[in-house]
Amino acid sequence: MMKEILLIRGMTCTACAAAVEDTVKKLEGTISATINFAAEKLAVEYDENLLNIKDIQKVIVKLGYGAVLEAPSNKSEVIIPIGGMTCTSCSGGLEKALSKTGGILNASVNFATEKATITYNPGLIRLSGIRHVIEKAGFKPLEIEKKADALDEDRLRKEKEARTLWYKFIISVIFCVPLFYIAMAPMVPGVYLPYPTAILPMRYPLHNALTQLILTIPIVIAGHKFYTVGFRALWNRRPNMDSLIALGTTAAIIYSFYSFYLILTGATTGNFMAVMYLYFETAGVIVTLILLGKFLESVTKGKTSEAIKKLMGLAPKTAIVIQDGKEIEMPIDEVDIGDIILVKPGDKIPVDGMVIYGHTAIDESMLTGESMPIDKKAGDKVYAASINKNGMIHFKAEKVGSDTALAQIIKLVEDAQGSKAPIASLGDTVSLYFVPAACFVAIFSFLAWTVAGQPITFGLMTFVAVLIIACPCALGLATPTAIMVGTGKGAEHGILIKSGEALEITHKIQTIVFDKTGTITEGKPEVTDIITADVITRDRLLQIAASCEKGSEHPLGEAIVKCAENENMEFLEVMKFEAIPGHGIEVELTGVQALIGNRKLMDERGISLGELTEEADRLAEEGKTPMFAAVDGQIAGIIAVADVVKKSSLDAIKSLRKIGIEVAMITGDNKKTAAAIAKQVGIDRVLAEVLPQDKAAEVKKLQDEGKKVAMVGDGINDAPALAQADVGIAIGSGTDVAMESADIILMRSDLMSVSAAIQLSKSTIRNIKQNLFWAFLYNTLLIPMAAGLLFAFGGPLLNPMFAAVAMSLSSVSVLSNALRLKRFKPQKV
Amino acid sequence: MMRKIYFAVCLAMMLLLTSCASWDLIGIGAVEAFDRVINSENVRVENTDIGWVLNMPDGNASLSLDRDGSTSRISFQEYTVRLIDGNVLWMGASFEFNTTEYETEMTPLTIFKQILHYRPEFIGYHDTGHHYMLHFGDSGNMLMFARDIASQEAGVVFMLNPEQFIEAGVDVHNIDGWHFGPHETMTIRGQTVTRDFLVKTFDLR
Repeated sequence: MMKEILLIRGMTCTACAAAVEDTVKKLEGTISATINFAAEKLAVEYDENLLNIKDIQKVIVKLGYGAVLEAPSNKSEVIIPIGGMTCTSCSGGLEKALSKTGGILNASVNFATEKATITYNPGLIRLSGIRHVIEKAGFKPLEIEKKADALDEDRLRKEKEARTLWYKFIISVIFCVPLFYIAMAPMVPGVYLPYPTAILPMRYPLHNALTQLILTIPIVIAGHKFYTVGFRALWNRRPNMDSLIALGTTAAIIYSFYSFYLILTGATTGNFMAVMYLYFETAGVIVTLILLGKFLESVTKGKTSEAIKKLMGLAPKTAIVIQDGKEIEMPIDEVDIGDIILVKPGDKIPVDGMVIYGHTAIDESMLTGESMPIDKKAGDKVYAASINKNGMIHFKAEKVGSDTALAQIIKLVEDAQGSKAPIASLGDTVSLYFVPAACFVAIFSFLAWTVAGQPITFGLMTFVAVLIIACPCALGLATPTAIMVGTGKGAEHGILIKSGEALEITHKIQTIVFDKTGTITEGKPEVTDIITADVITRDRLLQIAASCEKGSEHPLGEAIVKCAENENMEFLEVMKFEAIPGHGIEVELTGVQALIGNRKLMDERGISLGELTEEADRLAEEGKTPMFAAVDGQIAGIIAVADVVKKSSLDAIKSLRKIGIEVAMITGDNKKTAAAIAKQVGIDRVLAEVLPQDKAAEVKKLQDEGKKVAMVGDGINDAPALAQADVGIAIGSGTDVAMESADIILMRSDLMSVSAAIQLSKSTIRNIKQNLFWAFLYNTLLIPMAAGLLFAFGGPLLNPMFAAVAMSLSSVSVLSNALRLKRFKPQKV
Repeated sequence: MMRKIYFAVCLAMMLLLTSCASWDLIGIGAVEAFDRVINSENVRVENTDIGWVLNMPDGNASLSLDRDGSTSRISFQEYTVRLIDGNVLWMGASFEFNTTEYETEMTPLTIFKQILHYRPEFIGYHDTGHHYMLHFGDSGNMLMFARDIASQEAGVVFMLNPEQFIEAGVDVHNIDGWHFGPHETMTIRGQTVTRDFLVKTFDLR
């Protein structure tokens, strides 16, 4: 089984994307094929015994699109000018030496051009390594010709596309304006517009027709893609929007040629009036306006993906790596895990890593939206693209290339932008059937009017008008553009939405369940009280408890360990460690058997709490978590740990309740502590003492009440609940597993982002519905008019040129409406 | 570069078109149709000192084509129109134009061809009636002749602007042999208009 990603070029609408996907899926050997229209990529999985990637490419090219394999991330190409070669044996020798080097996949040295073209695996060998090989062979590697990276190439390609469309439009306009004037000016009733005598239609009809034809040709050339793509799609029985334009304008042109013939024979037949039945200007204006629409689309689409481009542009291109005590500036692609990197004040962090020396403040706002710079010192993590404010630091690279947080975010946003929300399938389905239906209505209107006795030209005009106005491009753009802008906007605010589906469901959420520790609270509990039973001293109790918790990942345990470390306590050796989920831990230390955990654990092991029960209750009512410690089967004391509620938690919950969302809290903590925390933040519904494996069940219970439930969590134990919920929201400061299970990731720990995510979802869905409404409105209102239905009852008829105006306007208005989402700002309570 | 070349070619083509008389289909058709009028059995052609007179079937009206020095003229006239009060009215219109070329052999057709050469804008075609038209300048008078005199009832039509007659106090509704009323025609620019004309029609079938 093979997986490849193909870059698809030439798709103009979702109908094109659907055609590519469906065609590839039907091939024998294809296991799955998923197209991402926005990113212009097709992910295909196939059985290499039955199918070859070239066969897939051939089929796509046959449909009329380009298909190129995406360069794998473990393959790079570089062209290095070589100095010092004197003959072809030098180049031959160097080529051999390079080819033998591990990590180099292919090397070709050209003596004539004095260049070496090398394909290599950057994971196995760096550029510096390749240079070293060249030097060792006795030659000099000169300044490398920098190949544009994928981002630059993509940006350049898109800019070139937009520029080409603009030039085509300008050429079209230059010829279309005089064409339109020549065709229309004599028809203006009662007004004598200036007109060249030599081409007066009723005096020199042949001159007039020839002039119109000559002016039309460059317009058709400028819009030739509509014809090549459109007719090919029609031939392949997958008509798309280009097919409609090609059919409509070709019908107008063919009829005009027929009128041209009548004029030519006019000297003997007297058919000079055929000059009034030339429709070159109709075809010309339609092509010109559609080109304008396409250009505006390309510009606007570029803006909808500005967020992702902005993210991509954040990372610096070079890094200062300390090698052998020297500072070496190198391309970021060459930075390896483990490299020590120097970052000066004002510079951007190049890759993810951990500070090993120095301290500074880092601005992480472009990643998390957090506006306050964060202090960093040795041991703290730093992330690519964040800005070093005032100090100089050395840090060790831990994640490079596609593993950095930035790269992960970009991939996430890109995937989300290309994913389909359920509401989008409505637009896609309609688009798919719309084109054939439009062709049918067009043919029917032509035949109906001709049979009804109207001149053939009348039927022709309705035919052309229906085809043009029925173009479903606005419908196809309605959802993806809003999702692109919405997810991009979310990324700006530190809200990473993984899919269009998540974006759509979020706005329907009725109940949100918050995990307590690390979500509502800071997740950094501290020891507040140590109460001993008479059998042990305070310090001994702390020493035992801390020694037991040393290996624990639980925040409560970490608080105890931290407390002991602060008091410079010596830790005892752990002989045996067992975690009892939802209860606590059982540990065998040197000469001591200890149990640390909650009341449930003590009850189950039959350990009487004695007088400590009252103390425990008091502590719980204060919002603290009492952890019981038993030594050798006897209760030894209580260590109370308290976790501070996040500053934003109260406001966030107020904000959610204001928009009608029910808020609940779920925790494994005891009921009294949970209730105290819930009271602080204004939550009424508390699900306490819930075992990790039961969290998902509790979420399901809420769902069984008929509600759409979102779960907000951060820990490994929240993962099942996050996956169970209709929308799982992971706090960015949480674990990778939680983030993997969630549908939305909040880069900030601020719970106000939850409210912002819901507001963004509502705004995006509202925008999509507006777009669909406008797209549908244009088509449904104007198709009957174009077909002449209103004309039959004395109403207006839609001229094909006005149909083209309306069609371009519909795409532009949908795109412009989607761009309004860029103004989205989360409302605070 | 290619774009500039194409633009230049288009411009050249347009200039070429303006000077290419052989593509003047209406002109070609008009000449052929007028030739058929001249050679019609029902039209009697008379030579004069300065040109020719084509006498219409009713014997009262005629179409003249003459050349006097550098001035060529085409006109139609009727001399014996009697009004109710007994007065005799001359009905007619004339169109003169200067010519700079001297034809060695002058015929009625060559004079007509001169109009095409010197004043092509006054020749047109009215699709509804299948008639070629000769506008007598801006006077509002015109001569129309059928594309196919063998099949059309109105072979030659004299059309007069009635304004001068109305100003002179003539009852334009009561002129013997002439019909007064609105008629559809085409302007020099090719726009269809409906105006009042005094009209006399001759059937040359």
